[in-house]
Amino acid sequence: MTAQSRGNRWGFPELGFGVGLRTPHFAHVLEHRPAVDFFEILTENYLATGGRPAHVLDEVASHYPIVMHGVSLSIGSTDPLDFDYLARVKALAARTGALWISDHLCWTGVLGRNTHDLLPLPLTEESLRHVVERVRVVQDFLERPLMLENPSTYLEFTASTIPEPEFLARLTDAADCGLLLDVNNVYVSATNHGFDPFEYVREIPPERVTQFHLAGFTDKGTHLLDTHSDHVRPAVWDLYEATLDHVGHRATLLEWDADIPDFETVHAEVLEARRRWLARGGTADGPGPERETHHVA
Amino acid sequence: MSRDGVRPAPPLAAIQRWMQAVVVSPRPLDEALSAPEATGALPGADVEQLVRPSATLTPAERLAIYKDMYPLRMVEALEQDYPVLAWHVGEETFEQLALDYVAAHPSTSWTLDRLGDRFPRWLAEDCPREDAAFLADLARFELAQTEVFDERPSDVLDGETVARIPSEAWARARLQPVPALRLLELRHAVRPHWDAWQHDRQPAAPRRRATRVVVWRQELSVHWREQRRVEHELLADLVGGAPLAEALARAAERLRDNERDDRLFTWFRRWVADGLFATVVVD
Repeated sequence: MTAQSRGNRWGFPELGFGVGLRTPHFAHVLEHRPAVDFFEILTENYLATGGRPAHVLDEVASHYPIVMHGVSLSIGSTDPLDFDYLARVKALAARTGALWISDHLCWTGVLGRNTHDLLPLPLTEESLRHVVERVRVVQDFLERPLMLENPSTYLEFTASTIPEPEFLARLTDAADCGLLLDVNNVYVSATNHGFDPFEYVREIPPERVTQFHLAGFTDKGTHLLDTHSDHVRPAVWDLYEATLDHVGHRATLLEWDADIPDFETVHAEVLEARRRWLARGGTADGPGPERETHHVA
Repeated sequence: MSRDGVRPAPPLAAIQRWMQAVVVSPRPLDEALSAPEATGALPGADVEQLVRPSATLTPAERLAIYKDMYPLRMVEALEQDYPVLAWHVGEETFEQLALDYVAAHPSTSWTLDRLGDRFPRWLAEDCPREDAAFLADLARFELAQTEVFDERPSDVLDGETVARIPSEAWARARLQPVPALRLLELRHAVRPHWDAWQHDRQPAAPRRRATRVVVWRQELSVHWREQRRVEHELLADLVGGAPLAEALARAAERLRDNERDDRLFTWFRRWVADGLFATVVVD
């Protein structure tokens, strides 16, 4: 099958190839307005600041499409949802005109604590019912669909009875939510748990996918760590191409969060994704900077 | 155990409480697994029965990946908020201070930016180190900078607005400070330690000296300055809502005759130039 976009459940626009907005690049982005199709922001970095980060974000949002990516929703936790947090997320999305909001299929803490880690869920029928119910509540509150990302995981529970791609497919269908497919995470988890990443990708429902993530991992010898500290590895590029064949093109975002190099290096990495998309028959019609920012009501 | 011999899966809530108890425990993994926090969350829990091995790691080793990352994340977050203090005490000591603090005050917020909010108070009240009072002052100084960095923006009183206020109205005027302003009264000098960190120099020895500091954000930049006692008390009066005439009268009593008008005028002009006030309210 050629790499043609099959569209997504919500008809979100094709955003093209974007970069995660990071503090070391603030000055470069403001001064040079690089030709990036869109920026993804780390939601929590902008929820409670009125200083320079807020100023930079307002500037960037006035020139580029924005999507929001969070780490604190804790959708899988058995603690109650934090509606103060959700209200802040909703307000930030309105302020930036964010096209969509994503977070992770994980939990970050219970009993009122936050470990600030993306902890793995046992993939059980109980977990599935629990997460589906909470996604529905969150979507009702945010008045928009939620995108959930497959996390990198380093352990599996013996209690798990549902393979992760099946869990994601059933979750997105039952809760009517979207999927941010992190290709690097698929590869990291596949290596750590010993499953076939290509088979995983083939089981993903294309119409639920709105975005891809790419990043670099660290090989610890006994396992892979999702560190976002390096170039995308060749094996992940191969998996990305297989993902394009199955899903089609989606907004593709390069994450680089540790040992962050200059902006051009990060940007070049996502342009490599674009080159691979074009090489597989894709068309170069993604939006660029200065184009109209799309707002989701 | 069910009738077919298969152990039923523990409830999600129990698994999460167990895993969290192990991950955040300051004890080594084997002790954390048998600690009451873990065994109470999931009685009879056995990591071998809860976590699958991988081709290269045992269940305990896989759980340890999460456990090992937790303290690193906490220390890194506090180090970002308290770089001068970390520089002063050194990496190893700071790590221990940070972990002791986090054990007492773990994160309960959706953001790590709030993790260190109680660090100055913990240092002042619960840290057993001999230099804890000094470290608490340093931490208050750094927390104030973090707070003003994140404060909401506001209007700033400018010279033109000041000039438009009729002279007879000033006696009843109150000055409203910008939100991004903090006043600190410290018992130790902070400048030598700030300078040591800024210039990558050997940390200076702590020195007891009453130090009054104003920390504020002007546009997008955070600033701080030490103040004389009279200037600091006058500014504190005004920030506290005292009418300008009353605050000035109190300050004037503390100044010598030959410096009174000059000092007050210089301070006020500097405060306006620095953007410390949002507006003037005339009752």
